[in-house]
Amino acid sequence: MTSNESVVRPEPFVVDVPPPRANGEIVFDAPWQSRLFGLTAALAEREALSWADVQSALIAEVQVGDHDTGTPSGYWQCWLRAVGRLEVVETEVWSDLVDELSRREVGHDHRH
Amino acid sequence: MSHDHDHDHDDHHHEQDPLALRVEALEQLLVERGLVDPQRVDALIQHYEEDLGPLNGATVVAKAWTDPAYRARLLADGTAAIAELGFGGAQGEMMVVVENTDDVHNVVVCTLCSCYPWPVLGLPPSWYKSPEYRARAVSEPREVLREFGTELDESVDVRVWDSSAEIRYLVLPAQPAGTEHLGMEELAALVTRDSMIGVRQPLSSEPEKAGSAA
Repeated sequence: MTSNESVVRPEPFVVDVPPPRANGEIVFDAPWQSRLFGLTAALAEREALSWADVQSALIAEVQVGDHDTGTPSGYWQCWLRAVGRLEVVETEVWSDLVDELSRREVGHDHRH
Repeated sequence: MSHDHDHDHDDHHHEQDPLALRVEALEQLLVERGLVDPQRVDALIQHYEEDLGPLNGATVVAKAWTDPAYRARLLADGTAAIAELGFGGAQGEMMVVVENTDDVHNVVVCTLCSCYPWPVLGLPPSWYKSPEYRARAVSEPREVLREFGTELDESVDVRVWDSSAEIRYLVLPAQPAGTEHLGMEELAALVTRDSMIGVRQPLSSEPEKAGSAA
């Protein structure tokens, strides 16, 4: 384990709406879920967002009630939507994300 | 037997989980904006999966090595002693700490699934969940330990503990010889995740080998 890499010391992530666990373990049941978590942690580390913001957005998403947060898929879908509410994502990438997704989903360039 | 196969990259995208696509696109845009570095994302995921928990467990072990009264409490009631240091699962399962000695070596497995003391050891390593480890740790533990590089004298009694949703086991490894002068932090750095599962010994404080001690 190399501890000489400058900073692997992110602040502990604590949210009031904890991720689902199976027998105590945090559960990612698809790679996109851990990737999403890693992206969030990377943004938090750069102070592009704060865990408190993530928490507030996540609570708001849970209250919308579109997803069953007792399942990994539902929980991380909520997390994804919560990330979309965060200022950094909303202002920096949201409109491009919509474009990029429609391009990928349609499978051809689809510029407006 | 390669044949041309250039028709389906878009098909592949169509078949991909839309949520995966969305996260992939999000990452791409964040990278393009210079807001995240993909290698850093990898490192953070690894950190949360592998390092964060074991640090908690290592603190517990180092404390037990340096404080005999704490060690006694830890062996008597693992859950309470671990909670003293601020660690514990919200799920409230019981933690039992088993101590390695000159005569006994403990190994933890979960034969049913992958029960694991997440609050102190973080996310379980992938091999811990493998059917092979779960079966062989019970049927041939010495051989499994050997494959991890842990050679034990035949006189050492190997005990395999089967974790469950109700009881999680944590191995208290034996303190490496010659480390009595070290402080908590230095000792904690010697305690690896694998040593608390019991498949390896803790690190030695000697950088290379024992032969060149002063």
